[in-house]
Amino acid sequence: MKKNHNIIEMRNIIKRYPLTVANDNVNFYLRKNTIHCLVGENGAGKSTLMKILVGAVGADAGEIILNGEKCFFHSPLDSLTAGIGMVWQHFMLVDDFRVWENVVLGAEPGNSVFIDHSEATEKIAEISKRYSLAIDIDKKISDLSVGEAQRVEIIKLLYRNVDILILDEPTAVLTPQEVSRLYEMIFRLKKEGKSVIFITHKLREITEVADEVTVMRQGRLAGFLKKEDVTADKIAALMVGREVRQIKNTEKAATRETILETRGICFEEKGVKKLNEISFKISRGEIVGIAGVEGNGQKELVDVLMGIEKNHSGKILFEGEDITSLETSARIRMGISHIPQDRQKQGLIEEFSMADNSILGRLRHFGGRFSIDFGKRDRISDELISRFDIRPPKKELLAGNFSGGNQQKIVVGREIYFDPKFLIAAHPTRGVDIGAIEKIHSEILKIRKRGVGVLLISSELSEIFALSDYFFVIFEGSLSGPFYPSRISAEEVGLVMAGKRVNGEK
Amino acid sequence: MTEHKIKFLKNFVSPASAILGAFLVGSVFIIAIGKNPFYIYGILFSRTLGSSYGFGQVLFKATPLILAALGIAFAFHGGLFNIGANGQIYIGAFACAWAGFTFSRFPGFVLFPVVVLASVLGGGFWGWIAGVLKARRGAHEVITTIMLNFIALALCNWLVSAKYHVPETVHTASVPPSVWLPRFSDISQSFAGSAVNLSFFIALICAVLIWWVLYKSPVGYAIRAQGFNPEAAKTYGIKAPRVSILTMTAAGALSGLVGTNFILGYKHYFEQGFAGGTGFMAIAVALLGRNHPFGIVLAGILFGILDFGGLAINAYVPKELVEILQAIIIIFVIVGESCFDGIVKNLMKKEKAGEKTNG
Ligand SMILES: Nc1ncnc2c1ncn2[C@@H]1O[C@H](COP(=O)(O)OP(=O)(O)OP(=O)(O)O)[C@@H](O)[C@H]1O
Ligand SMILES: [Mg+2]
Repeated sequence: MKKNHNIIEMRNIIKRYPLTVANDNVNFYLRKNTIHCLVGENGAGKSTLMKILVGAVGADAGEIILNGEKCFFHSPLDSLTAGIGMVWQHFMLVDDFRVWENVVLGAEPGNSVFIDHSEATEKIAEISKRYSLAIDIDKKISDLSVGEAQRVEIIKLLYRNVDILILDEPTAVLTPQEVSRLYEMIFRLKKEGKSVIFITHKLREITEVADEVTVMRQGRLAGFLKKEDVTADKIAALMVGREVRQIKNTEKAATRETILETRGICFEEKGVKKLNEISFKISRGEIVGIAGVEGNGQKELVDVLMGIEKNHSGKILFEGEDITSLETSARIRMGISHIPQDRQKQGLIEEFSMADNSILGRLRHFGGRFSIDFGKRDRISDELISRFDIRPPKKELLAGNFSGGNQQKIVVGREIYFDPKFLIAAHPTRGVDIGAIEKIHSEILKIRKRGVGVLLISSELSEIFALSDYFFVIFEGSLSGPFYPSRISAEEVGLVMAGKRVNGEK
Repeated sequence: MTEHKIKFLKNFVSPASAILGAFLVGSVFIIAIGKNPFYIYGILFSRTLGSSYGFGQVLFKATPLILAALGIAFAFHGGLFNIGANGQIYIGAFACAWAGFTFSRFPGFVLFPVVVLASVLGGGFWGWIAGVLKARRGAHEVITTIMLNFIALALCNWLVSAKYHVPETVHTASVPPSVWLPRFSDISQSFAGSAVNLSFFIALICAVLIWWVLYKSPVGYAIRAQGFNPEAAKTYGIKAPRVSILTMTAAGALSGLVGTNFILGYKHYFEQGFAGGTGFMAIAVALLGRNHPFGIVLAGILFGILDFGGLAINAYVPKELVEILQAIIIIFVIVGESCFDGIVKNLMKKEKAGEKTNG
């Protein structure tokens, strides 16, 4: 066989769900030793196509050809044995297990009773060195950052010698530094003759890594491009069928009236300082960013601001009132809205319908203590669906059955809908397509115009630069800044994010 | 295939096939004993559903199962596994009887609410203990409720034998007739001899109430949110400790109401060990009813049929056969759940094939 033959061919794949056709006669192929980007809007059917490939869901029609032979996988385990491994959009690790235990799980070295610990650790160490996937193998999964957890997922697959690696939106949760490490690893894999399928929404990444690109739209194949033909504009046009604007913050906040203020917040967990003397003031109509490598205290800061974590020192004032001791529900009632960093774990209840999710935390708007106004719930759900273009437009669908990006839109929609006075937005555009990013960004700018204060937490520097009036960088629980987007370069910010000490201007 | 269809299959077809399957396996046992399964099942159903008396007995047996299962399901929706129904039944029933014979001089219209309240408070208190231990100390409710079962049983036995027993018996004094619940037989002669009483309607009212609370009220929303995704519930201001305390207390209160069936409707006194394994069988009822209040009513009645039918066929086959049937149903329900997904998948495929040929 020639060198770059089609290692995988998927022909005429059809997959129907109760309310949508996720894959409508899709053809897809992957050539050996290439990096293949699979792109498309939220709900286009990318994840579904890959799930079919690895056997996690069954297709209704179509065939899969691996190395020229027709094959059929009953489960991801099946395809793993055949050398195909997938890192899911939402990780699947055992939280209470250590890193090495997760890696060997299902392929334990040693005999059937005892696991050969040293053989496992040696092999893992070798893999992590070879592909520069640094990890502490004795840590528990629950103590890892998202980037680290992802590395574990990848190591887990490499440990089983996969030839084809599928990464479903791997960079959505990563910081710029982690992204470049991921690239390094991917290129390394390619060098060793492996092939990679890479799902992403970020145009820049496509142009950086792709050898070939397949574009999907509404369950169908929308286009196919080779490296030479790939430009950001072309892909954007294929993806959404129209031009996409870059939203930019051009206006300034109207007032200088403080809405949220923190004074010297410190927080310690298991003897580790997670937040260190955090003090800032945010005015009405102001968008303040917090940039930083994930895991430097962002989640803790949000938890403290929302009253989810109360074991801290320092004070929080909202509209001049001390809210430090108030419960989460009281803070929500006062008008503080919250887009959490992990939509699936925190933002949604997957077993509830979309309609029921659109009232999460907002029950008081729907009747009193004793009843729920279901008519109003349905009206508002429909409104959210059309305003944020949530697809499929079915409020009865369980939240867990929406695609990742559409789940995000449900959360964002809800948190913006109920006239908040202050919005804490943690990674608001994580995993959404370029059209939806435009929408979410313009909604954030719209509410700020109405005088809503916004705390924007993002590891996406472009987002911080596009939206914030000014921003801080968080590193190991301490803030530095403020910095102004117009007066600092992304490179400089990158250094601060990596721990370089600077004094902000003010 | 619509979501509705899937739901229908999941909620009705799957349990129904579990029941059918269990009866099939049961007939193997009957044949092994050398009897005719049609004949035995015929007796089982004609004795239970064929006469008012039989049906009355079925409802009488179903009442406690439904009440306790409602409590178990309620807690389950909040993410808690209440194994403590039996203990809650004993404490509730004892409180009911105690209030009845202690304040026996109160007029009926005062005493009746008092004794009902006593059973609710007694059972509720016993559930509340587990709820508080969970909320404040993180103690696992399975462990605490099991322990509380032992304590409740021992406590009631001691109270009865050491303090309140009528000499020469293992039961307490009776509650005054003014608080006895009317039996069906008081209204229709055809129920004569059956102990079924108005508490069956108490159970039905509770089922409707629990359904409304769970699916229509803000409290139920919070409980289910907590049960499905505690992390998201916390993020949006639902207080887990409150849910634990509330659901366990309510579960206990519902189990406590079992006292009305036995004390107010049947024997009129508290008797040692009267509940047997009701609180545990109720777990199976909740499971078979898919933790839905109306499903539980149906499942409770089915278990009532098996319970009383077991006595009826006792003359022909060992009573253990019915216990085997009950156990097999439970196993089939659990296994059925995983088989179910596969069946739906197949059906959807067939449907598609049909669509293709049609279109
Ligand atoms: N289990 C399910 N039940 C019903 N519909 C589903 C289910 N899983 C996926 N879908 C639907 O199939 C469509 C495709 O979903 P998929 O997850 O493949 O999209 P995606 O391209 O990965 O999107 P995203 O970029 O947002 O992750 C969506 O409309 C989704 O709602
Ligand atoms: Mg996806």
